[in-house]
Amino acid sequence: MNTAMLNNQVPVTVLTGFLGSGKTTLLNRILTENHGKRIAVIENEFGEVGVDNDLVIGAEEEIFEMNNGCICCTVRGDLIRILGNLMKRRDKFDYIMVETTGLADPGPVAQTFFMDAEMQDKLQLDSVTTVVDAKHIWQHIDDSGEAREQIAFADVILLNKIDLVTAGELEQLEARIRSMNAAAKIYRTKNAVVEMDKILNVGGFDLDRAMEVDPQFMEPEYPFEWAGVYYLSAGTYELVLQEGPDPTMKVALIPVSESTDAALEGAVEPVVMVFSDDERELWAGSALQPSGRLIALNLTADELRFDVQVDRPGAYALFTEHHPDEFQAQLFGGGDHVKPVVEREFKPDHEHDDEVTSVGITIPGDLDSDRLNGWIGDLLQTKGLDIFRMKGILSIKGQPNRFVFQGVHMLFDGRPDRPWGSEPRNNSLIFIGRNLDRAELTEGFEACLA
Amino acid sequence: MQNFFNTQKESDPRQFVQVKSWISQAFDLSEDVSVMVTQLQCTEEGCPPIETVIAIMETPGKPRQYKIHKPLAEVKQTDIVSLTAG
Repeated sequence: MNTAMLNNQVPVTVLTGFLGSGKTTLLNRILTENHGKRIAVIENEFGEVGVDNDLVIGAEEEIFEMNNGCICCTVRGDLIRILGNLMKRRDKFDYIMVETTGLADPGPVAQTFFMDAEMQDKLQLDSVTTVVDAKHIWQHIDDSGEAREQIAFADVILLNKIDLVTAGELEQLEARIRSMNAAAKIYRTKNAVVEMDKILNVGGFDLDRAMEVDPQFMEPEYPFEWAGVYYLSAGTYELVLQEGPDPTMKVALIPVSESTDAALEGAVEPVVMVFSDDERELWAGSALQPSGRLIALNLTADELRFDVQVDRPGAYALFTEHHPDEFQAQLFGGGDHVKPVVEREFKPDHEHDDEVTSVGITIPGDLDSDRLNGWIGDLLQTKGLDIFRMKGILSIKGQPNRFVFQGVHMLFDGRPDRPWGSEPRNNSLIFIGRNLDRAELTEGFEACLA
Repeated sequence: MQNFFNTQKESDPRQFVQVKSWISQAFDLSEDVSVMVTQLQCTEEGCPPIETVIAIMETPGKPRQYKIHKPLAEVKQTDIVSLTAG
């Protein structure tokens, strides 16, 4: 049983997705599956398959701003009216689905559920679920703010029509979506077929679940995806690659003290600096020196072989912009395949590809509530329009219970949750939005520690 | 200091219902008219930290908005009635 049911609140799912993504197919499936729930549907997309249900209500998009000069919140007037009327028939349904138009901005819809205290009392936004057409989303993802926002706002994303794309395309799409919204649950579907418990009562806003994100997401981003340490005797080696998805790949080869994880770890920060230097282009057939310089391997030739000259035996770390598997990159010495002694994958830096990103921060310890209030207040005041979603589990000094909250733009809803008990007291925050500055957010959050 | 994490929840939901009913009476609204009442934080100099913002959605697309410079818990019926004079 989720918190909405315990509080006798009606759970609400907001369904978004471009026209043709499979949103209405999903809605029809939800309405016809035997899940025992009576669902009221609010829809405002015309020209798609109609839904035969007593409680389907149409709406015309009507957006307005509620503000006091300091905080502005864009809400949907049509939705407020419809929800108000619907709640007079509260005994007729146990769940509400709001289907938005393909081009709707999910922000005002989601904010509507946080704006009015009476509404917050009676309804609980269970999740924003976005259906993505795996084949055609590429047409929109770069040039449509709505498409990006629908992905950014989502708690659940259905990657639909996966039968129309290759496994490689799907991986690429999922990585792109994950870079924008690391906190959403992603399900791959054909014909929008998905188990109902993945869509209804998911408690997207139950923070424990929402915070179960990819552990790599909590790490900083790096300009390289992979590093390996090789132990090499003096001699000539050959780095051999196959044609891959990119025409060049930046690499840096540097000597390290020993072939251990610790030595690799110690090289990470210096190599981040190396990756910010100007690169020198290296054509196939040329020699790659372990100089610690940034090299861009040109990968347009037919034969992609680069000599590696090692003058002194020892440990050498190779950092690569892309994962070597993408190019089947291998190192050979005397005809034998030389494998790295230790290796590590890194979360790639997608900052330059997507203006919409996620930032996750975890810090141990207790927070000072006054400092936290001040920081969050300032942050929302200055960056509220760029922060689409925010979720957190916090440890407030002097409070035995965890404090959980989640928000949409400048509005949010928070409450004390279960006691920490023997669990270590930790603070986790996730931001999803535009132009987020990880370093600045981390510094601000850390300054709130008691 | 006002706890930013509790702006809405700290208020008694009965007060929201009461204020909404005063608004309906003062503006002589029919039952179908939606009214939103919310508290918003303000950090500008000279403003109270929490204000009550009201939106009356009688004509679609043209909500009437009012501000009362005090938290909801302190809003009295006379504050609402005085809005109708403006």
